[in-house]
Amino acid sequence: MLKKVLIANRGEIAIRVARACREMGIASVAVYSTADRNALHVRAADEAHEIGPPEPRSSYLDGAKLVSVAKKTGADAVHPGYGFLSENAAFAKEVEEAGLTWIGPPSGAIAKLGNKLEARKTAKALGIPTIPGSDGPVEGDSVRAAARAAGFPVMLKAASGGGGKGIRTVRDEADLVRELERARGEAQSSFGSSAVFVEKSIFPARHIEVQVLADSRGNVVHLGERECSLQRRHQKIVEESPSPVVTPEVRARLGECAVRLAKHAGYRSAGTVEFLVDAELRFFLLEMNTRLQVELSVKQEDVHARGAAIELRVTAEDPFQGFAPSAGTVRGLQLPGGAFTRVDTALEAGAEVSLFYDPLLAKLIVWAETRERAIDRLARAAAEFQVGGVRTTLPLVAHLARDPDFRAAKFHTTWLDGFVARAAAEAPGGLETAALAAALAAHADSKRGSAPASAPAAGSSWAHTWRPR
Amino acid sequence: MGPHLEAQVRYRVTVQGRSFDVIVVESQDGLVAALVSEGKEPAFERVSLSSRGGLTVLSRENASETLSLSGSPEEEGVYHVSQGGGRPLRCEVEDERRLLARAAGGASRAARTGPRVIRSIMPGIIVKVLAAPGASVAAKDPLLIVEAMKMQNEIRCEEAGVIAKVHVQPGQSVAAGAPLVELSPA
Repeated sequence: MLKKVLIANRGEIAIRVARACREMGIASVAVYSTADRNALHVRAADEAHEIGPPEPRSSYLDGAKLVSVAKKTGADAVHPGYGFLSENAAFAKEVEEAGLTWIGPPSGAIAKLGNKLEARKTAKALGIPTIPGSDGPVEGDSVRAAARAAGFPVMLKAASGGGGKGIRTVRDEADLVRELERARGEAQSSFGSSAVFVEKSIFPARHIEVQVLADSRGNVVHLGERECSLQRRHQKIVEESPSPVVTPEVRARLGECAVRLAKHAGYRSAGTVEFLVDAELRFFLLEMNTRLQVELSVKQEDVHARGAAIELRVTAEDPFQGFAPSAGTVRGLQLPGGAFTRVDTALEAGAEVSLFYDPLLAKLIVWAETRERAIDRLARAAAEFQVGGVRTTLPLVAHLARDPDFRAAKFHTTWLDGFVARAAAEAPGGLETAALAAALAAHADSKRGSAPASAPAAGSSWAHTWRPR
Repeated sequence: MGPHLEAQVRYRVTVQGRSFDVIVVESQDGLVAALVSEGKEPAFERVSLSSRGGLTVLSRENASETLSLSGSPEEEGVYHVSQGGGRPLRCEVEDERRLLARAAGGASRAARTGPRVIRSIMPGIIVKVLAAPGASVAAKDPLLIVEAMKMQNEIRCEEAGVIAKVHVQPGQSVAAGAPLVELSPA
């Protein structure tokens, strides 16, 4: 049994891992950048060590530093969470070679499956359907042939990419060469490799992924699928388990393919095999994520007792202003509670939301006996969830719950953009309440002396974002 | 019959392009307020606005709710109010003195009659300034590029005008709400 785990991450996933350690009687070590000194995840673990300045490449992405802290603190294992170095085969190898347990798949499996081109080749060899496209990286001349063979529109994808990044859609052959240049440049700077390949763009498509679990003896099982089609710029926003459209037969085939791939790669621990599913429920391998995923929680809730679970990723972005990022101090926080309602978050009143890291603030997950009730429950919980001082994606839930397409599960991977535009165009309600509250606030301000030049008097009516002039 | 007329203060609140008049009265037991509807007698009710761990509680005669409410340090009289599950609503409050002054043609907040200030909607770093003072710009012309969370965003102007002032320069960090560019009418 492990004695001490170094949690090589931050935010809600670091807290999740720390909680699991505590429940299992394992000691935990948190790491933090100077920007995260007062972050909640630091207090969630038994020990905490500073690892450098806010920029991830100097702190959370510094593998050598992380291994050194693990050794110094006597940790015997490293948990990478998701994002950061979780799919970095070199870091996994460093951890393995330092004699520590890497809580994840073997570094060889990460290397094999982490490259999308390699994963495509492997899948093809195993008879798993793949999206029509090139089987190797494309350069100036070969891209045209590959794109024509696949048929426009096509996707250009960075072979070493992940997390929905490094993907471009090309609709017209005239744009192909230019887009390829850009894609190769971005791939090089973001992922360290300029290898880009071509895939046919399938539309409309659903993003459906299968959760797999493997032990260290070569046993692999799947836990069913998640529907993750509500995305923006390839970033998932709402996830459901099970998928409202997958039939038992398709579920069994998806699961079987996922297990086949994981087994062949010598997988261990948790992983996710992602598929694109077309309107006829034909599926094609997208890639495999050799790590924990953000949305594992929605599968956890579903597995607990068959029913329906939905998760909303609450991010620090304003959906009514083009998802403009929102940074600042969380002045006040009210978290939802109640039946089958779960919040995974590192937020607390007074927490700083900065621009250095991913805008994910919290995951709001609900479970209910049916999908209908789960949607109602999500809306109820979202209405209780208040984050003061930072704009979030929470207001979208009320609109989702009223949307007939969402209720009927009639959506696909580019549906969300249209939905957000419709939601933004809807006239908001509650104007009278807002007007009354604003008038009362102004009234109290005028009595106190309205210039916000000093800190509010003790017992002031509400929190203004006071700043010295 | 409402509370004594002398003690009443009237506010006009504009939100989403609509205006609401609110009358606030200080009585012995606390505040009493009413939203004014055209053609109807104002229905006064006991109200209170109080703080609850950084959030705000609006208490009315028949219901209460938790709100997120903040003033705007850059703009007097502007408050952002979010109700549970709802989007933030920007409310501009003018009190009676302001309303009378405006009706009499007096100077109001600079934001109303003077140059229009375009403010940053997000915190970020200025990458490029695309318009210079004196330049004429048309609606939807891009004015600046701001980088935030590793993405570049174009800030465009909404109406035609002339650039009166540029408040920022490339490389500068800006907070949400910070003034970027001032426009005079075309």
